[in-house]
Amino acid sequence: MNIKFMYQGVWLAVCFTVFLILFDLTRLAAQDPEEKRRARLSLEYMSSNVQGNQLKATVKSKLEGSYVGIPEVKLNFYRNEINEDNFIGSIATDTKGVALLSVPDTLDTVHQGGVQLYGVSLENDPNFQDATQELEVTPATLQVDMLEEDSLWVLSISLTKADSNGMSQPIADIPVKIYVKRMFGSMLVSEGIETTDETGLLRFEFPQDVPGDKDGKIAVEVKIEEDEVYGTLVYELTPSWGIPLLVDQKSQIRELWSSRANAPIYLIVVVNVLILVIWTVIADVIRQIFWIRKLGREKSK
Amino acid sequence: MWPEENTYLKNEVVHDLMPRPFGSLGMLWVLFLLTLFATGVFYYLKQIEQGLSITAMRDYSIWGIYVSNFVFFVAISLVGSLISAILKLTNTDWRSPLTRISEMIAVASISFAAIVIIIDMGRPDRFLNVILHARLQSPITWDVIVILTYLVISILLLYLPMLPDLAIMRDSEITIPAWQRKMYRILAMNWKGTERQISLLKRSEVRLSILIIPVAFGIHTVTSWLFATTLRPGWDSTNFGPYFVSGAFMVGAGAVIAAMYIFRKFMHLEKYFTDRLFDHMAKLLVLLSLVYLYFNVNEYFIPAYKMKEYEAEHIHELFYGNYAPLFWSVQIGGMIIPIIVLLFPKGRRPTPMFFVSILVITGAWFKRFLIVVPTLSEPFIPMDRVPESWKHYFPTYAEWSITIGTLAGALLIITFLVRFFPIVPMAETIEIKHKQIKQASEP
Amino acid sequence: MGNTDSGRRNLLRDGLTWGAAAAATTVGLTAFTQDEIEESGEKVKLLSQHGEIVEIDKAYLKPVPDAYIDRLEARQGIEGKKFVMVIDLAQCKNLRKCHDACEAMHHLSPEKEWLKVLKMEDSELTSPYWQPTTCFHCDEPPCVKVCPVDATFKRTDGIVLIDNERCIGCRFCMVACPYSARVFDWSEPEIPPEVAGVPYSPETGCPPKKGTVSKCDFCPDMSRKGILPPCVTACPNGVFYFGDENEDAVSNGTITVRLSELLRDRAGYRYLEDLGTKPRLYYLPAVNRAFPFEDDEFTGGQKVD
Repeated sequence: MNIKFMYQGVWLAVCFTVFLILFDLTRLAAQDPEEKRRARLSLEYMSSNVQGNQLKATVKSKLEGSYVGIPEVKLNFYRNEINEDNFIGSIATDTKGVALLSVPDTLDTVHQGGVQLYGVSLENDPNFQDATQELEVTPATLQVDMLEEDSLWVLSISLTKADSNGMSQPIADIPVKIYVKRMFGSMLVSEGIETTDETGLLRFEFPQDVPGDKDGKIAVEVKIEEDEVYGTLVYELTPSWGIPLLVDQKSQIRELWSSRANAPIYLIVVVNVLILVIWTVIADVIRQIFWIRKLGREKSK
Repeated sequence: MWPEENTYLKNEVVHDLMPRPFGSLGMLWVLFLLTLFATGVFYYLKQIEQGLSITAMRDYSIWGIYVSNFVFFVAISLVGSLISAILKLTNTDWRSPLTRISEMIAVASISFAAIVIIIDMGRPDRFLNVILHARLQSPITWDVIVILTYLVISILLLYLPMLPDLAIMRDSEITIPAWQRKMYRILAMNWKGTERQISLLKRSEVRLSILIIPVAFGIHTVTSWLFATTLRPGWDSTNFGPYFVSGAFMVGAGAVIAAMYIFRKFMHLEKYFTDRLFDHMAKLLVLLSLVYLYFNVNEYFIPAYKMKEYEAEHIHELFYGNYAPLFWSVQIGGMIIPIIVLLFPKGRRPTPMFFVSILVITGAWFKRFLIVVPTLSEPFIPMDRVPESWKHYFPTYAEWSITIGTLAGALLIITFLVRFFPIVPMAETIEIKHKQIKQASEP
Repeated sequence: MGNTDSGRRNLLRDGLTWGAAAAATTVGLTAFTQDEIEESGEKVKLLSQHGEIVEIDKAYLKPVPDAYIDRLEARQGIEGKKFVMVIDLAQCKNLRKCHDACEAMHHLSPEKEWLKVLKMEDSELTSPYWQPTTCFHCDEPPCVKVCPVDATFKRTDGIVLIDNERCIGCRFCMVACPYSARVFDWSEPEIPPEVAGVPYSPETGCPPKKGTVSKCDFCPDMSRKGILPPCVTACPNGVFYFGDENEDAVSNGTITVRLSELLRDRAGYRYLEDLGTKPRLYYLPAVNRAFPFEDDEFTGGQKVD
């Protein structure tokens, strides 16, 4: 009796789990406004010579014990304090729970110096409790030049910010990482911790053994990652400093594992000679059989 | 062609050897084989519908009795080249009554070898790909080429020496249905026995006899390469070619002895399949068995001596493991016992020899099973998380039915060949008897 | 149509050359084909590069359709690539997420394992370890050697694939593979509705075909999009590294490292190297493990190599 009851309980639990999986979790929560889930909001400032200045907000929520990105959540971005007057844009998160907002050029104050304040908020979402996140960032300029000195390839990196007079000031002691872009991600080529000196400069001798594309081009990223004051700064460039890629023609090689069109010559010769010799004899024997028949016919005439 | 005084001899031979309609026993035999064959066909149709899941083969036991049966058929077909080529070229005079039956066995078994390997295919509907997209690097391609070649040569070797017999049957006074006589007439190719015809025939026969030897070695060596070209323990052997060829000659000789005994008994051919002939075949079988024993020692003793990691597992399985009962039965029953029995004159009498030949044939069939299956049951990687049944291959009812169906099919071909064509070459027998009389009459 | 096609190809190629960080999400804007799409009426706000908010119909936010790679094209391989995998045995805890991700990605039935996690024990006194095993995509593949009909082939990018519309089901390749990487559709495979109508491509092996051989394909269809194979991304311990030997880089979804350095520093090796098949999959030995070996119920008491 008890066991039967237990089975029913287990069965119900299984059904319920399946139900949960079938119905999108977020939608289920939407039916019950009391049960809004808590979302974790984070905000980063990213400055890139290619992408421009961007705000990157990430929404995560706890699911089965680990935080996962929540897609399709509308986020509002603000300059300075979070209020309607400071609204600069709104954007929904992607599949990874990330919303990227390009900071409009009009708001760019890199040349004016000083601290900028940004905010992001999650408001009136049917599934998630309201949340806000603010960020203070000092705009800085990352500049990278490619130098070829004798046999050395050097990246000359400079990090500066504008002071209140609009004058350029070096930023010292900031760690810089140098990556090269690869098929599935960026690969670190700088070893150890490289930091800018008191003049805001860093000389990086680029390794000479990094494979590039057919022309030897490499996509290099110089990065200051998630600095507390300056945010993330990226400088992308494509020097021709890689080992040029030689396109492999292995499919043309005649090997035992090649395609039928690329069978080894000795195999083609041996097999064909054998077939030819043996079947010539067979054909000749068959011919003789018909000769025998012909002889027999002549005789009977 | 033949001297007048030997018309009597000729008539007697023709009378003895002219193919006859099935008696009631023969009909029963044919019916029996047809039933087995039909069951096989039934299960094969089921296999086409359901796929190879109808077999016990799975992702580890990739090949099963279809392949081992294929190897068996290829092996037994080598008897054609043994009797009609090797013995012929070495001028072994006693072989002449055996040429026809050995070629019949060869043609029947090589045909079924081809059929069996198609049965094993997952996509028989794409069989033509083997020719349309043939890849010369694959031993399967070589096998297709060499099997086709061997089949054609075997048919020619069956047919060509039969021309004089066909002419005899065409011209015989024994009443046979008109269509049968017409068939003989067409097949006889206007054979008149003129000197020119005879010389053409002899020349072709010699050519074919020479040609079939490398092709026969080729067919079974290439078949052994289906295994030896892989990296699997137990197959990764340079000994495999001669090992297979010698085993094939042995089982082929066994098959001829069994056939001799059965036809002698049921067709009353004591005059042709004499005790002396049995004695010769027994000695030949002992010789071939000893050669095979030699290769077996090489094949198993050397890896067993070294006990290399993966080979060791294979050897253990065979010597003491799951396959040990079958392995030792086959090695002792199918090889050692036949050698011992046949060493004694009493063992070389037809009846004991028949039982020995049955031992040899069954042993050979299971030997192929032991070559194919255990190796696949011990892959390099551990067999994790697979159903227990995947680890121990045992053929399903369907597989047995289809396999028995193919064996019955091959026997049916032989039976029907014997129904319409003389099992002992008539013309050659007359010629030899004539020679013997002539020799006897001379002082 | 031809233009949009080549446009997409170019995008793909560029994406591949430069790592395609943007392709981390499969949702993209199919701007080329605006006139072919029926608008849904539902608008989505997006921000352009310069901060302008643009409203776009949701219908344009469809996933970018995968470029269809036909049977002939699938034999070529992705130009300039040499795919390679590294498996860090020290990190594998037999969580089997890779296996499940593979099963889901390729719509495999449970007994069709393209990816196995094997319990290995080299000798009696040495510690057992878990070894995820895929197709090794050998550089001298014994399986390809023996194929009688050119159904399985080695591509320029190192990947070994199978054309299931050519395969005759002789299973010689399965026998020839010393790693038992290949599996067979012994009966009519169950084809999930989502792939039933998909045109067959050897790059996905989908839909599967009865009586033919299949195996791990290193997910070239994903690589074309710049996405790592699901076994790599599914592993929470970063066991799998996948990448391009020509770029000398492999990525485990979190970090990208130099292949040559990884193999050198961690003493990478290939399974059964002495067989001479030259696998494209390297293992990092199970040393300095941070966790004890835990057996599971499936292998308890079973003899392993």
